[in-house]
Amino acid sequence: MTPILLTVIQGAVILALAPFATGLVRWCKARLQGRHGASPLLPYVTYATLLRKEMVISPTVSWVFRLAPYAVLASTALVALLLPLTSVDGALSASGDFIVVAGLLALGAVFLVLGGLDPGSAFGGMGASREMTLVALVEPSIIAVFAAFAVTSGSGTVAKMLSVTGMGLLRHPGLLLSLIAFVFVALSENARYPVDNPATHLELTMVHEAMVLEYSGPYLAMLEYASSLKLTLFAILFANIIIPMPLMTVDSGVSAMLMIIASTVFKLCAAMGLLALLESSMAKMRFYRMQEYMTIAFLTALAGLILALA
Amino acid sequence: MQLSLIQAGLTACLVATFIAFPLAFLLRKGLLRRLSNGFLVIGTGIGALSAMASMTLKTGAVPLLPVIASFGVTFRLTPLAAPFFVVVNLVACIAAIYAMRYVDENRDAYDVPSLHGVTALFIFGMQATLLATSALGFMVSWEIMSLSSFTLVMADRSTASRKAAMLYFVMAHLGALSLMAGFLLLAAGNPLADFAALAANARTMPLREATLAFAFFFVGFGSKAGLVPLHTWLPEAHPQAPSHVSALMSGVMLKVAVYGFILCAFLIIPSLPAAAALTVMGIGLISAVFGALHAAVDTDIKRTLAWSSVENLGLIFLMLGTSLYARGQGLHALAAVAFAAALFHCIAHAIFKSGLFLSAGAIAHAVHTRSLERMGGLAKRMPTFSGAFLVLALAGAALPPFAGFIGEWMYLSGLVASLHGIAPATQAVLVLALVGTAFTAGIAVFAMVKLFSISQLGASRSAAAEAAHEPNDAIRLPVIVLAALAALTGAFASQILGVLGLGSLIMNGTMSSETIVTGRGTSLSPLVLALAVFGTLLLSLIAKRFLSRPSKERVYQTWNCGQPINAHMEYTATAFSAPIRFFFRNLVGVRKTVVTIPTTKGNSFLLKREMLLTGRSFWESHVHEPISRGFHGLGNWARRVQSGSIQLYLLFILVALAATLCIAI
Amino acid sequence: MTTHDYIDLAGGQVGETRNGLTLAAIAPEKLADACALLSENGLPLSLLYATDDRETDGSFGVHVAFALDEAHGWLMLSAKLPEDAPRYPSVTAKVVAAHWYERYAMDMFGIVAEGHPDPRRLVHHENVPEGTHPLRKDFAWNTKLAHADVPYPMHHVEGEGVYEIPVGPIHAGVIEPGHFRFNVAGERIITLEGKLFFTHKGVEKLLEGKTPTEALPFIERLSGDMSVSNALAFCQAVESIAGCRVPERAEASRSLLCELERVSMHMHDLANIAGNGTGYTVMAANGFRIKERLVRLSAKLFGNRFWRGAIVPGGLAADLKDEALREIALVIKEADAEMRSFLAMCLSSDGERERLETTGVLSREGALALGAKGLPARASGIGRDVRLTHPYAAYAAFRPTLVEERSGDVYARFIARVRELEDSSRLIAELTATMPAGPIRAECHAKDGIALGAVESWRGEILCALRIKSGRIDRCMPRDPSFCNWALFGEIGPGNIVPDFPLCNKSLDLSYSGTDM
Repeated sequence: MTPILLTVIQGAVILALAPFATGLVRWCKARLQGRHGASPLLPYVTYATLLRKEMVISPTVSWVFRLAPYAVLASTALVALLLPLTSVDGALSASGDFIVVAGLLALGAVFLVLGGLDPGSAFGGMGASREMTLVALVEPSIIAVFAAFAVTSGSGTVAKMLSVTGMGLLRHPGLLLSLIAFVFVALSENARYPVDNPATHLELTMVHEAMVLEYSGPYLAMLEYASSLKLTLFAILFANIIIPMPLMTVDSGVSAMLMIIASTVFKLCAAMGLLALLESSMAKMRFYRMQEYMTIAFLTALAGLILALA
Repeated sequence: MQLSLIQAGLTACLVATFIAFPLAFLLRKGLLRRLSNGFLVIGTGIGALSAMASMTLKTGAVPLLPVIASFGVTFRLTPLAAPFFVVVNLVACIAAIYAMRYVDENRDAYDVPSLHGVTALFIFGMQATLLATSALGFMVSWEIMSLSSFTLVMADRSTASRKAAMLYFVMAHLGALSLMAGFLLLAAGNPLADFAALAANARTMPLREATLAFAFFFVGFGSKAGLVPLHTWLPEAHPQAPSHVSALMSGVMLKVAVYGFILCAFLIIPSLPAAAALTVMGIGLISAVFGALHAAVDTDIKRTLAWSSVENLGLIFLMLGTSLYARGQGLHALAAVAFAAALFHCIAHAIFKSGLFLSAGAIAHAVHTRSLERMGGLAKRMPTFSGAFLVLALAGAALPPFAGFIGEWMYLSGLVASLHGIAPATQAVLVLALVGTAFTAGIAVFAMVKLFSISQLGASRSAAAEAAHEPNDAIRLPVIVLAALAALTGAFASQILGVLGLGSLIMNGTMSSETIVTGRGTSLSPLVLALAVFGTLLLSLIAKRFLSRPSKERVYQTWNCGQPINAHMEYTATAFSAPIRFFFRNLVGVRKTVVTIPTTKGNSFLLKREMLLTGRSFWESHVHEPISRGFHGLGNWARRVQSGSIQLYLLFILVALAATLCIAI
Repeated sequence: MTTHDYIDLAGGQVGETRNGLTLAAIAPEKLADACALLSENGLPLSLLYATDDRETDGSFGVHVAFALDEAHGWLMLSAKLPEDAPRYPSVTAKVVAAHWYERYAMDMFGIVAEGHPDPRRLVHHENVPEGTHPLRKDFAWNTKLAHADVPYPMHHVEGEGVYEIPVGPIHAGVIEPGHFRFNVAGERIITLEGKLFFTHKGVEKLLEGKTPTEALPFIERLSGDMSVSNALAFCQAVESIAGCRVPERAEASRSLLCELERVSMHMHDLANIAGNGTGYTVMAANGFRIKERLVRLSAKLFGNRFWRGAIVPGGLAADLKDEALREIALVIKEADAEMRSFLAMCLSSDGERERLETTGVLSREGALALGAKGLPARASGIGRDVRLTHPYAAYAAFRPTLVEERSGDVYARFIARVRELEDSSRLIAELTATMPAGPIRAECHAKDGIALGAVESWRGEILCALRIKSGRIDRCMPRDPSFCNWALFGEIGPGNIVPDFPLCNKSLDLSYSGTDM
């Protein structure tokens, strides 16, 4: 297969799976709470419905409000193409430098924040200020986590970092700490527990939901979809680091491709199950304790990096 | 032929800029009053082009025509000075165009001819500093630059400006004294010695003396560049100046200080102890962190930008310090990458910061205030302008694919690539630099988002902001050009680094610029990144077009929970940065006090409340005030010997004489 | 001090005493000072309400009730204001607890409390014209009001960078309408103010002229989750005026119903605080499931989900058969055991406790001054419980334990609920096991007179002031504890961060409907 084809396949698989990830984690959580729960496939219907709905746009907003959904979706999708999710040899995966990935994630977050502030509502501002704080404070942890992987694998691209995964982690025990820090980072980046409660109806406590409060119709679908996408790519990346299963390369055939797609679905299910378990077993953190969370994340990442260097 | 053209161009640039100074005072009426501006624009334009030509053609050092040699100083464009000369003239050219209209619109506040004239002199000072070949020439030009900018800071003649200018004056001259000391130490008493002679002296000098000279230079250039703890003037003086002057001061004057530092620390002084490099890194990092935090919490649009300059200059010095340190540790690849990153970030910062200051000027003019708390809703009222402003802010936030990202990216990659298999102590230093830079980058994003969103988005918080409209083209175009430059510089970073020819510049040609950007085997070039970002953006546009119905839209007010809302109910800058203020309250030192006034006597539960934010930075309370208290105390103590009796003074003189004799013998 | 000493101290004239309620007349200009003196002597200001007596003696009445906890009685000071100039010096200027009552009287009767520190409207919104006083007798209940736009200024905090968060009256969750206005400079609350009364039902007006039996359904529907307590308070007042003795079995059943209501709602609150407030979803899902069992039990026994329709003047409408009692005992036993296991899990979670502790602290001084009632007051160290101070129903025989916490934060209110839940479960077990036999209803003929009915609902003290004239209600003010506790937000909120406000709110769980009669 050609690198271009690999990237296209990766893009198609991840884009197709993204709504399922959101639906699955909701379903698992419902089950863990003793509820029936809606079908994990519901988000597909939701997004499709939203795409056909009328949009209500505030007269306060400017062009930034309209640009934001595209910018958020595009930056997230680009990250999904850069990272080694189903293949390591994609046309763009060699370009997936971790600093670029961190930068693109921040770029998406910035546009989400701008979109949240544009309608001039107190809730949007609230979510925006909190999100921006999280984005700013999580930056050192991201860099430290990936630096540890870069040092052990000898490469700055995330695709090459996957050379030390699975059993390889055992040879570099420090990376386990980096992995824990990665979870901290992922939870914060995706606005999940204990940083944010994605299911809350309390406007005053929201982070992500408060920013998208003024969006409706197709724009809302794009933003929700982008957040599903982000969740999916973090989950699969995490699974790829832990589970030593080969990904597609230029040498893979069709059967390998089908195998890998199936294993991707499995990885996603496992990761979402774990996330649901985590979210059902803890309370959300007080927002002004967030610097403690970030400090723990950072110190864990730093310890991982130091052990990786030793 | 080409060389002589470049020579002529550079000379013309310097002469034209200098002539613009008196012209502004002489011709005040009619179209002729534009002559000074014209000379300045054309002069700086030619200067930028000539220096660019010199770089692309790799001409090496270009001496200027001997027209002005009669002053006793010679001028020459060195390969190191060339990129700085390009940046200074480019920004000066754009700022000069902007100034024509901007100053006219604010003519009530300023004395127009002298403002234009002194600005020309200021630009001339910077040009001459970059072209100087001797310590004397450098110091004289440096003083022209400092004094003219000091005058410009108080151009609006307000009390606040005067105070800021005085602070600047004191700091600038402490710095200048320090520089003078450094040069004199190196020149071994010959003030007319040129840099080559200084370098020769430095090579034969004991390391301790060279380090001392370096310390003088670091203090001198550091105070000009706004490094802590000598940064206090910067967030006061830069915002007080007219916006095009702020753009010049923050955008390029600080870069002249960086140039001076590189000249002295890299070219003149041959080697330095690791402690010196570590000091530069440490001070740079502290400045970066401190500047970023203050930029995040400040609510004045221009002061936020000034603090952001402290942050960026801190980063540049951190990169330069890393380069020095890596050179000492034998990490030549890192030394080259860090140096290249610093130089690139200088260019990027010059572009986006001057663009941001020019934008701030336009905004402040439109809403009659510099306070973010009275802005808002401008993106709707000035869409084109705000688009350019957004690009500049994203570049300032060091986000891909814009200019600001490249330098930080190179630097962080360089650090990570060098971490493996080196001494633990060195690793510790590099890791600290790594996470420190990452932290600064995160907070810088916060600051820029605050700056853009609070000023541009949402509902207008004041009547003036409500009435704002798209600025005049003469004001808008320079901003748009700088925004385009910020995007293009990011996309074509590899090509620019190629032109800079950094490898041959300092590091003995062991490292080509391609490997700097694409180091460690990644094939990602900034151009591919930029194309990928805009490509996916385009794809998402197309996808939405296909997947959703032709969009039906209804305009309806922002969700208000069933109660009417107004602009008092949207986030303010103070509120936006509250988490950062809270988390780092010990560093930024802003205290919130709520004053409560009982509404009836004896009833302590029904109150009126008033909120006050008071700022006392860490440096003020822990460094500057103890020092000033110390001097005060010393003065008081010294006063005791002043009894007023002649006999006692005579005794002092006698003792002093005796002591001198003793030392002499 | 005896009751008469207090009246002397206040400078009033002793009137009649009946069923624990002592009446005293006082001059309007002395009212504020008298209230201040009584408050300083430790009598809690429990109720202030106005009456329109222009038909009988050409005056408006202002009545202030104080609780006499040691004597297990009540003291009511009444002042007569001339009908042409209904004004008197404000009590609020000296006793903050009167704050909302006086604003209420100003809106509803046009009685001016002079020198009130916050004389804004309370009940009336912008659209109600000036000079509308619905509780005056000459105001017809079905008057169509013109649409006005009278300013309703909210408090503003001065200072650059301060902004306001308006929340409600329409919320994202299914809750009643209330508008909250925060003054904030970021996340930490500087001031917090509520604006309620969005769905004024006019119950007080509607009650006038009805017989007690006709009025009861209105009272039961004042606040759905407090049907039993409100009905009981009203019936007590009716029975007190009528002088009828409620049979023993009915009294015990009434206590049982009160405790069932308390258990259901405490379970709801615990799930709401620990589950929804902090995002500990397992607690929310399971707590609501357990509470649902109780609500369905009510549906099975009474045909509605809120234990409604059982209490009538004179006793009970229908007897609780032994079979029903056994079922109640069983369900409560199981629900209590299950709830305890979830609460244990919840309280062992550090993250959960971290959210609850130190959040929303109500100081004892603040609670006293603002006249906090019920559970929030007890969690701040004010150990008052009407079941103990003024025992009613069967509480003299089946004594509840006084639950008191000191720290005054959300955690204290949470733990106080947990302990009350345990105590109520114990009471229910005792009541179902030893329910006395006998009749369930006595004859209760309406007479004329004034009485107070007091019940400790799960929210706190309900006081129902009732005056019957010619067998029909002349004035009835069923004061919900929420009416006193809403003002606590102003004390609890500031200093907390905005995202913790929903938690503070849930820890008080006040009734909008009960306040907005």
